[in-house]
Amino acid sequence: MDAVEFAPTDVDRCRPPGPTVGTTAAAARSMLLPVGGDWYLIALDEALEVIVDPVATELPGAPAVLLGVVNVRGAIVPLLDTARLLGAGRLGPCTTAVVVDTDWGAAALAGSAPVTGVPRDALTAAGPPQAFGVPWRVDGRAVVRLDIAGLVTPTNIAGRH
Amino acid sequence: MHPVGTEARFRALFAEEASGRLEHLGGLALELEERGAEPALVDDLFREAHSLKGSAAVVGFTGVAQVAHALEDQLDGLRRGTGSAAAVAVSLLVGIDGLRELVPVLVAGHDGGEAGRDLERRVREAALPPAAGASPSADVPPAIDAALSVAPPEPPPAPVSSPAGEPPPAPEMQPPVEVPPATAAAAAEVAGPASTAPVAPPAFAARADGTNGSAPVAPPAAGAVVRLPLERLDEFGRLVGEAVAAHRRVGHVLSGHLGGNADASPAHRELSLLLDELQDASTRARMVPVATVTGALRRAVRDAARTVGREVRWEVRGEDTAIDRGVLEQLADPLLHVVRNAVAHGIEPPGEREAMGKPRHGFVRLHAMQLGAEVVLSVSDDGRGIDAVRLRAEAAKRGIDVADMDDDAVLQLIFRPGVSTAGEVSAVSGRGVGLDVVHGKVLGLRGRVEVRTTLGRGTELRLRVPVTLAVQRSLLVMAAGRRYAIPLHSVVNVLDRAAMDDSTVLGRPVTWVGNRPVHVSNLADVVGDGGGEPGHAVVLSGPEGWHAFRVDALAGQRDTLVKALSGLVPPLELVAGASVEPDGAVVPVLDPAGLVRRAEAAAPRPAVVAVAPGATVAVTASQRTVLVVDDALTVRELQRTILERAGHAVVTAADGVLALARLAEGGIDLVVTDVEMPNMDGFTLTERIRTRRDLASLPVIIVSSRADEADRRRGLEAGADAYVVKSAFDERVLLDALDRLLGPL
Repeated sequence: MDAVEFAPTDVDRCRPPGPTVGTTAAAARSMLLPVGGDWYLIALDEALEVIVDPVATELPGAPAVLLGVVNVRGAIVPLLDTARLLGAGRLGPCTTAVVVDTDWGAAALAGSAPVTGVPRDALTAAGPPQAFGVPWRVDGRAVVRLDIAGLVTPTNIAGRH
Repeated sequence: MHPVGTEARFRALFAEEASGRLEHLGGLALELEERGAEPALVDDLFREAHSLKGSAAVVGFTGVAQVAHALEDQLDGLRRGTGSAAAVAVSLLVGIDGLRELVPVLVAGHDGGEAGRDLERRVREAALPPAAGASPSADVPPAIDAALSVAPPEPPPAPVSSPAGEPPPAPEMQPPVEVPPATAAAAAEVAGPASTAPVAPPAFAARADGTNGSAPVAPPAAGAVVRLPLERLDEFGRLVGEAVAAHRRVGHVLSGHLGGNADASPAHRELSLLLDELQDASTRARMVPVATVTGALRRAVRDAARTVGREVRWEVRGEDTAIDRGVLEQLADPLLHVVRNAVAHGIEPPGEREAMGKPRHGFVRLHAMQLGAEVVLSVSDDGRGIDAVRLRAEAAKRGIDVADMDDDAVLQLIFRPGVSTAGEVSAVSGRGVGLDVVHGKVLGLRGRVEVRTTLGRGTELRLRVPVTLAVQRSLLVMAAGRRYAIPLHSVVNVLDRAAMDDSTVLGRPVTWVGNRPVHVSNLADVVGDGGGEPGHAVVLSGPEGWHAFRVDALAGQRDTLVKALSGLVPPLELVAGASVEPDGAVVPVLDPAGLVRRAEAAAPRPAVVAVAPGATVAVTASQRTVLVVDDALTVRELQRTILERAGHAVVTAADGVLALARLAEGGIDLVVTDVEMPNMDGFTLTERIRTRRDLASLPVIIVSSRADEADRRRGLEAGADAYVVKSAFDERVLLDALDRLLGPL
């Protein structure tokens, strides 16, 4: 697979600063977030950070989909079990997280293995949109590009209580 | 002068300016009513009305300008010695109230032409001499009458910078605050060039000199103010807080390289000092004087007095006392309610006062003062005071057991919903709705309310609130290896393990705090899956009472910048927010009220209950009186709490002999008794009850730690209707047994 592995720093800033996001080659990439046996695509311009081995603080009484909160540059960000959020069981050990921006603030989507970058030309459309995303094919494998705005909402999180 | 009224931002700025001017005019109008047409006062009023007229004309709000012109005419009449000050004051108030409604209509882009003309007409009519037969309160401006006629409930919450009755801010702008120029400049600098605060243009900012937009504007003098949208100030405070937190994290890293002392670096030490100063300045910038709300309070007193026919003088002391804008904003409505209450139920009618040897005028006073980290807002009156006897009777009528309450405890009942000593429901208050809301609001601000009263001499309500909510003192504790912050304001006591009783009552761990039995839980059990090695206990106060939580260790106290959780996180009963530690770790800030509530409602355990066959007695009274018999005060009080919470009236006795004596007085619907007691045990008591004709059918529940089958049989043979084993007791078991015997309430 023509993929780019991100540098294994503790906190890796994915989105370059400045107004050129969305028009440069860098912005043309997506990243793959492994969640259990599945992979999910997240557009690079929807990601704020990648956190390796996030250290989450559990919140008493929180629903299972909320693994805890993490400190992202001083901001307190909820870490979500992506598998539960998608209604696909539970994640298991969390080794990485992608911080995404939403209308309600930042949220970290937990993954079960390091993320990898994918150039745009490595993606092939694979069908009509499904719940929470659009299917694509990457290197012969079906993946779903996550619809962050539809997936990471208070309603959906509360619904996974 | 260029017509700029078509620009929305100027209309919004006018709305801000008009808000301030109308508030100022309102205060001056009340002065006019009280002091008469003193030339300097009339000049001030005229200047304010004139400036309002000028600004309104600039933005094309001709209706507002015409009303302001009508106000000028009234004031000009006073200058020339025609017209009455009282009538002009009423005319001004009519105009001010009307403009508060009209301005937002115009700012929203609606045509207010007809409304403006109508208001102008009403302003002019209000200054005319009253018609024969007019009612004494006919000079209360209509808008205020309407507001009072629906109270309670309270009028909508008013921001600090826009008192009650004022329209909401224009959609484009947050309500502004006025801050010293240096602070505003700092805020603008921190926010960066792209977000420089939209300080009002000179035409609107130069209010201090009393001129309108056509006047040349001098550089701000020392002590001058600039107007700044609140959101900018909040953002400034947030950024400073973040900077301080980030600096602590840097210090943590640096200390690893400097032998554990980050301040060994002069640059770090200097930055620490600067950030401390910056945080102080940021906190001060959030402060507003109490005077921000006194105008609205004064108006409320005036209007309430006219509505209920009282003569009241309003006094304020300490109105320069500074308080966090957010705190004062939350207190605006409670204060309005308290001052209205003071007028309507504290101050006597003038004739009654004279008959008592008091002056016709009553006083309602607001005294604000800072005491340490708290601001105390005291509202006092020299009226009739609260009649504790009457309050006690009122509470008893509502099913509250006041037998063991002293007068101080009875006074606290005024904060319970539905309890009121007001003889009548007036347009202002008296339904027992309101003081409970006041109490709740103040508690929500991490404050408290105190009441002092002397019958015939007056009442004082003291609202004690923290000066600021920006930083919160917290107690850090460890439970099952995890760190939590607990707001210190809810910590009643911290008990050393050695000083704690390890007793259990009705199967639940209890310890004593003073003379008060308090349930004990392990914090780790409440917030998680248990574990740890609980030692100290932290006693917390919540709406359900006190509860002690055992923790593994105390980890110190700290000023914490509490951050709200993301809007993505559903409301969590046990968590009030979170803070970031210097080492970067996130610490949950626990919600004491939620903790106590959760702990008190801990899951019930299975219980052993034996109920005699066919034992059901129907009681049709709306409330049952239960006699609790136990020689242990703790048990009696816990059972009393359980039963009262379930809606029953409770009386108690310490042994079987005393219980029989109490039963002889009648009125008991059910007995809950222990077995082992001095003088007469529970078995004997039950047998005696069964042998008396008048008590033979009285239901009896035995609650005992004796779990043997023989004991249960003995109890049932003695005549008990149910037998509950204490070691497996919980309140649901007792209430279920009671419901089975008496039928549900």
